[in-house]
Amino acid sequence: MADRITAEVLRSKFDAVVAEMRATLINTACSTTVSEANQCCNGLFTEAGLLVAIDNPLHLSSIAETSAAVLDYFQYDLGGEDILLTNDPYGGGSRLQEFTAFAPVSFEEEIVLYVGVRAHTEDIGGDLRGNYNPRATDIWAEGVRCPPVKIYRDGKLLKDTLNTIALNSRNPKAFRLDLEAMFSAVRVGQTRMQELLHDYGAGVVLDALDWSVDYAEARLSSMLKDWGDISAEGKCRLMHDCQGRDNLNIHVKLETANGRLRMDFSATDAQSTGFVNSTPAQALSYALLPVFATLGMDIPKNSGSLRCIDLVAPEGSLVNARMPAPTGWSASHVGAELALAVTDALTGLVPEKVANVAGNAMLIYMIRRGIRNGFTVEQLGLTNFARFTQGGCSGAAGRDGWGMPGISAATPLPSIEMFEAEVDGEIRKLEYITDSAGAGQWRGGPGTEARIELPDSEPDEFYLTACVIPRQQANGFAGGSAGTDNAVLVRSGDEEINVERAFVDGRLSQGTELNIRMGGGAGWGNPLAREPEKVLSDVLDGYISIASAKTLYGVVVDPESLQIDIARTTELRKTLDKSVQDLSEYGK
Amino acid sequence: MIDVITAEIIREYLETVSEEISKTMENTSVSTVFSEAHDYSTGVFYSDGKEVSLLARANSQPVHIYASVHSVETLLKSFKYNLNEGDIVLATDPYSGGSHIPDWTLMKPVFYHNKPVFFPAVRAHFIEVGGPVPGGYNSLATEIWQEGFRLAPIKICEKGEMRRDVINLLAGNNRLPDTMEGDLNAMIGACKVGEDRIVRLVEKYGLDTVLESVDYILNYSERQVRAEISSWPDGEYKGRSILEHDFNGGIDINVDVTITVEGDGCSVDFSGSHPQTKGFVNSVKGNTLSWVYTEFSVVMPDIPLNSGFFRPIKTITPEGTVINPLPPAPVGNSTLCIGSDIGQAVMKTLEKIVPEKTGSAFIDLTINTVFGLNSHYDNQMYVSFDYSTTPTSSGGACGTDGWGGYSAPHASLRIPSFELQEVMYPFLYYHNEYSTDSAAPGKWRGSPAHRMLRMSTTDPVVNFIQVQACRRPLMGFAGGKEAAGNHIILDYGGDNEEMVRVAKADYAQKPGEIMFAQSGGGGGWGDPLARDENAVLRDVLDEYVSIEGAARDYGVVIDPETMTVDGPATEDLRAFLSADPATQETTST
Repeated sequence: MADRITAEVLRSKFDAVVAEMRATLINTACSTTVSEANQCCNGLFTEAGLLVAIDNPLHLSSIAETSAAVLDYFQYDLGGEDILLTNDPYGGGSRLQEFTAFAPVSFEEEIVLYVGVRAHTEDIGGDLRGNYNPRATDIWAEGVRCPPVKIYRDGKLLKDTLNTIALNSRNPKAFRLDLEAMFSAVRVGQTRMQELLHDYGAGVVLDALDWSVDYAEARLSSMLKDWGDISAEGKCRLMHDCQGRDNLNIHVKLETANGRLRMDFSATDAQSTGFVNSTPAQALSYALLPVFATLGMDIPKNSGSLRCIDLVAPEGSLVNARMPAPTGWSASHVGAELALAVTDALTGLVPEKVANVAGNAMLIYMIRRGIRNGFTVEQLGLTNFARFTQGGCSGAAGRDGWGMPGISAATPLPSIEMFEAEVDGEIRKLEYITDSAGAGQWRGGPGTEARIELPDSEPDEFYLTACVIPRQQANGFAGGSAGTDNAVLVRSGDEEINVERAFVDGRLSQGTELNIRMGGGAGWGNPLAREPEKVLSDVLDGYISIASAKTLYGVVVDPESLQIDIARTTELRKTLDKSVQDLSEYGK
Repeated sequence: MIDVITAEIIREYLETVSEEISKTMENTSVSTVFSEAHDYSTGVFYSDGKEVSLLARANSQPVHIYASVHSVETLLKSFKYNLNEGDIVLATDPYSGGSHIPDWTLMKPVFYHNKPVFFPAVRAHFIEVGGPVPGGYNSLATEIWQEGFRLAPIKICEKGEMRRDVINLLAGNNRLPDTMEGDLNAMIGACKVGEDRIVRLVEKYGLDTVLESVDYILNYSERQVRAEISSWPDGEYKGRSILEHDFNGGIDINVDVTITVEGDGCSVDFSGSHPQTKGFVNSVKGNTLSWVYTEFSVVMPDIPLNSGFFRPIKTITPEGTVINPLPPAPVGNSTLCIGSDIGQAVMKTLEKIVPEKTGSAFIDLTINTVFGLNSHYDNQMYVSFDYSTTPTSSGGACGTDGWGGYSAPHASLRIPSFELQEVMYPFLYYHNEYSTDSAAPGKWRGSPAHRMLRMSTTDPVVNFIQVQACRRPLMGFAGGKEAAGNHIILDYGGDNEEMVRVAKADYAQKPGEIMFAQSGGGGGWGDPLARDENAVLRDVLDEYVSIEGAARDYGVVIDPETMTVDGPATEDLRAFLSADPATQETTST
C-alpha cells in the first residue's frame, strides 16, 4: 500500500507522463490540426478502464467513455502488445476525424493499465473534406465510422485494417503519419509507465492509480458538499442548427446532495437533423467545464470526478442524439450552449465565480478544388480560418477577459507569415475591435477582426463554408453586458455576402476578401463599478472608445489630454447608476 | 496426358460448383437484391502461382464475374506473404480490384501443398455501403469518398476465426447493418459450399488430374477463340458509342474502340476515348475489361467461358480516360453507364466483322434508389433499388426478336416480384407492361419498352434517380433501328409533373403520388422492311405494334377489319419506302 505522499508524488508523475505523451504527439504529428492547433487529448487509465490523468478536460467524459467502450468490446480478447483504434462518436468519440488509439501497458506479462491518445486527423471521407458538413443529416455523410478495431495485434501492424481506414482519408499519407505519431505517443506512455512500475513496484503504482481516482472523487465531492443541498435551473438557446431550425432550448436542472451533483437535461429540446447534436459523453464534458471553472481548475479531473456526477440526458434530445444523427460540430455547438446553461444555473449559487467558459465559435473554412486528371474535380486542400478568431473571452470577477476563452486557448496564435506562405493570400488586418467587448466591472475580452484577401484562383477553385450563430445570451454576468456578435462578410467579385446562418460549400469568385468578425466576450459586474483608471487604460489601448467610456462606464475622458475628468465622472456615474440597475433587471 | 472426356467432366463439374455456390447465395441471402433480383455472380478461380484464371462461372451477371479476375489477382497480391488456410478475404475498392464500391468480392482460398490453388468466389452488389447517399448512387459525387465506405483488400476471417472487429467496422459504415451481415454470411456460406465441392473433386480425381484438366480447359477455350478470330479478315475496325451525360454536367462522353485483327489474335484499343469525367461514370480497368469480354462472348456463344477465352484478346486502356481513370475519380454508376457504352462501342466494332452475330448486349439503365421509413414495420428504414423502372434492354438479334427483360448476357438479373415489393415497401404498382410501338424496328425487332406506374402509399418515398439513354438510346445493328430510350416522370398526372432526363437527387414522393418510368428496350437487328409480314401481323395482334406503326416502321399494310396482311399493298409500300429515304421521311409524318 502506497503512503499518501508517494501516491501524490506518483499522481504528479502520471500528469507528467500524459504531458510527455502530448508533447510527443504534437511534435511528431503531420497534420497542423495537431501540430499547431493542438487538437488532441492524452490519458492514462486503470486496469478497470477508469481515467486517471488527462491533459485536455474537453475530452474528460468522452475519452472515459471511449475507454469503457473499447474495453467492453475487447474484454477477453486483448493482448499486451495490441493497439486499438476508434473514432466512433457513438462509442465515446468526439467527432469522426478525431481518432483514439488505446493500448494496454503490461508489466510482468500482465496488463496493468492503459494509455489513450486522441488526435484530430485531417480527413476521413464523407461529403466534404475535413468532415465538418453542415448539410449532413446522418453520420455517414460526415465521414467514415470506425468502431473499435485492432490495429496492432501482438505487436504486429494489421496492414489490411490500416489500409482500409487510410483509404478513406483524402490525405492518406498525412493520416498514416498522424496515426504513427499517435502510436509513438502511446509507446512513450507505455515506456514511462513501465519505468514507474519498475522503479516504484507494481503494487505502489497501481495503488497510486486507484488513489488518484478516489482522491479526485473526494476533492470534488467535498467541494460539492460545501455548496450544500441546492437546486438551480439554467437555460440557454442554440439560436439555429444550420438546417433551418431556430431557438433550440437547452435546459439544465442542477441538484446537489451529499456531495453529488445531478445534472438533469430532461427539458432540453429534441435532437436536430443537423450536425449540432451531442452524445451524452461529449455533453457531460462540456456541462462540467463551468463546474470545474467555478471550483478552480487545479482540482484533479478524472473518472473519480465523474463518479460524483449523475447525468440525466433523455434519449433523442440534443444532449443524447440517437444513432445515426450527425454530431460533427457538437464540440462547438451545442457544446458552448450546454456550458452556458450550466453557467446560468450556477449564477445564482456562486455569482462571483461564474463566467463564460466556452466561446461562440464559428465554422469557417475553405475547400480548394482542382483538376489533376481529365475532368475529375478533387477537394485538394482545406484552409481553416478558425485560427483568425482570437477573441471572445468573457470577464470574470477579478479578471478582465483576454484573448480566447479558456477552453480554446490550447490553440496558439496563428502565424500570419506561415499562413501567407501556405495559402498565398494576404492578411490585411488582424486586430481587436474597438467597443466589441461586453462592459462590466471586469470587462470581456474584445472581439477580433480579420480581413483576409484570398489569392488569385481558378474559376472553380475556392469554396467557402461558414456557419455563424448569434450569441446565446442577451446579458453578461452579474450586471455586465454582452459582447458583440460574430459576423462573416464575404466580398466575392461583385457580390457581398453577409453570412447570417450557414453558407455551405459556396463557390467564391476571383479576388475574394473575407472579413471575419469574432464577437467580444461578456462583461462581469456593473460597469459603473469599474475602476476609472482601467477604463482609461482601455481607451488608450483602443479597446473602447471615448464615447463608450462615457455611456457604458460613466467615465469621462478628455479627448485632448486623454485624462479622466474626475469631477464629471463622479457626477455622471451618480446619474447613470439608477438606469444601469434598471438595465440589469432587463431580460431576466 | 489427360483424356478429353475426364477434362470435360471436370469442366462441367466446376460449372456446377459455380451454380451451386450461386444457389446457396440465392437461398440464404437476406436482401431481395440477391434472393430475388439476383444481382450477384459466382465463379471458381485458379492460380498457378503466376497468374489468376477464371475456370467456371454460374449463369450470372458477366459485368461482375469477369471483373472478379482482377479482384482475385489484387487479393493475392495484397496477401502475397500472408495468406493461410481458413482465411476469407474481401475486396471492394474500385481502385484495389473492385468495380464500384457496392460490389463486394469475397473469396476463400483452397490450399494444396501449402499454396492457395482454387478460389471459390462470390461478387455481390450490396444495397448499402455508407457514404452520403443511401444506396451509394450519389450523382453529385466528384470523388470516390462521396460514394461510400472504401475497403482495401481485407481478411474478414483469419485462419478460421472471424475477425469480429472488421465485421463491426463494415457494419458501422452501413445503414442496414443487420441485412449486410446476413448477406455477408450468405456469401461466406456459398464460398464454403464451393470449397467443399472442390475438395471432393480433388479427392476423387487427385490434384494432378484436376490441374491437368484445368490446363486443358483453359487451352481448349483459347484454341476455339483463336480459331474463330482466324476466320475474321485481318484489319483495323473502329467503333464508337457515346454516353449522353455523366449526371454532373459532362455531356457526350465518347468511348472509341479500334479492334485490330491479326491472325488468330486481336487487340482492343480504347485510345481516343474521353478523358475521365467529373460525374460518377468512370470505369476502372477491371470493369472495362468485363465489358470487352462480355461482347466477345456474345459473338462466340458456344465457347466455354474462362480465362483461356480471354487470352487471345489483348486490350489497350489508356490511363486517365473514362475507361481507366486515376483515383479519386468517382465510379459509382460505371458498371452500367459507361459500361454499357464500352460494350456498345465494342459491339459496333464487331458489327463490321461479324454483323450476323451482333445485337444489344447492354443495359442502359435508369437507376432508382428508394429509401425511407415504412410505417408498416415500426418505421424501420429501408433502402432498395426499384428494378422495375428499368427492366427491358433486350434487343433483336439475327434470328430472334428481343423479348423479356434484360439483354441476354445480363439476363440472370431478374425483376423482383412486384407483390413482394409491395409487401416490403410502401409501394403500389399500377402498371408494369409493354407499350405499343416502342419496340425498336428491325428485321428482328427489339423488346418493346416497358412502362411502370408506381404510387407511394402510406409513407413518403425518397428517390434518387439517374436516367441515361433519353437522348441516345441503345443502337440498332445491321440496319435495325435504335430503341425508344428511357425517361421518368415525377408526380405523373399531378400538378407538378416533371420529366427527369438526367438525374434527380433526394426527391420525396408524397403518399398518393405516382411516378412513371419508361425503360426503352434494346435496338433492332436488320432492315425492318425485311421483316416477315406475318411476324409484323403477330406483333400487331399482340399490340406490340399498332396498325399505323406496322405501315410506318415496317411497310406492312394490315386490314383493320379482317386483321390480315394486305399482300399487294405491302409490296407496294415496301418498294416505295425502300426506294427513296427522303420520301420515307415525309410519308411517315
